[in-house]
Amino acid sequence: MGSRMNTHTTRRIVICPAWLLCGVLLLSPSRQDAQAQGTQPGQLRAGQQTAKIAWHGTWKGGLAEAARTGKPILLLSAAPQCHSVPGVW
Amino acid sequence: MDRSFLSDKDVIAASRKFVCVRLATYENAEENQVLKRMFAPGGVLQNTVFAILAPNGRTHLVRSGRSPVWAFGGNRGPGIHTQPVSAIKNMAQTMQAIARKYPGKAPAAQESVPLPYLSDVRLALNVAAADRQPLVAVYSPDSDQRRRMEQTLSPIVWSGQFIGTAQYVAAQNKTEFKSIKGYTNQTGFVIIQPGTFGLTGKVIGVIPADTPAAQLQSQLASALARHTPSRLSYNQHRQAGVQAGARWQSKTPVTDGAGGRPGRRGRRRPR
Repeated sequence: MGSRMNTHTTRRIVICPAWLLCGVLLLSPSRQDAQAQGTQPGQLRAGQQTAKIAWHGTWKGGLAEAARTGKPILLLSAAPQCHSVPGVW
Repeated sequence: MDRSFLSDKDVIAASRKFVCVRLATYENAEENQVLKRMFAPGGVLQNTVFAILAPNGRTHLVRSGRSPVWAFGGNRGPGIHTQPVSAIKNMAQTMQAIARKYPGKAPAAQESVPLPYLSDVRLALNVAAADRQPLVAVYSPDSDQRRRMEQTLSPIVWSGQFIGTAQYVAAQNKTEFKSIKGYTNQTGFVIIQPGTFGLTGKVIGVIPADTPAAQLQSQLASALARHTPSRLSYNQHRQAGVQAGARWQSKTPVTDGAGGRPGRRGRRRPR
């Protein structure tokens, strides 16, 4: 049973769609910032903040803001999970 | 050296002239339909969507696709995080050109800029965990009080010190905090450390709702500084999540997969 689960888990990890990984790499500013600073992801100090893109989290809110300001829209979408594990782009 | 698009300083600088919208795919049926109008080969919504649009939200200004690569060139697949400088600069320059074409309107006096809210606390916890950022919940059961809180908070959120450093959500019911440890039903700005997998959280600060702007800014900075981002790498995170049984159930079916057949959760090898 455990062996089957491990095999299944391994297979699911191996078959993770490349584009899902792309989404992770594209949409994970902390990871990118860490790399940009020569650190590994997750090695940011507590409270350390860097300039990032400020995202509206809903289409309704973003569209209303675009109508209000007349600014163009930069739109991205991704699922915040990988094979149902949350907390990751 | 990181060469990906969205962490490039020129792209970030250009983004300040845009309304930036990042949606969580498969979490809202209406937004799914919007995304399908943007990019959906075979009519099937993909996991990731990228577009640059006119202010009307309909006119595409660059080629839409799954990522900026589709519009600006560069590497697809595993090398996508090491994009050629030329592609990144292409994106930044194109965005600047678009911003010149759509310079925006002068804001009305005393107009408060809306907060960049996520749709609900559940999703906001997940997104904050994924971004490794703290979450700020603007909580009050009283909509008038919540609006006053938003007006006080807005100039701070969009200021150079704070922009893009946290996630935000509005809350009007204490039950929305049921997965958050340390919450004591206090109305105000609730600063939350998301759990590693964004399924839980803990309160790292509460600022009273009627706090004046100057004090709110300093107290918010102090509270945000108590946030400790996850130290797990991407692979460690995924493996730890599997071992911990951390699972996310999307609100709508995940349709990304081989052959574009709805309901499948990913590409599978022939057995």
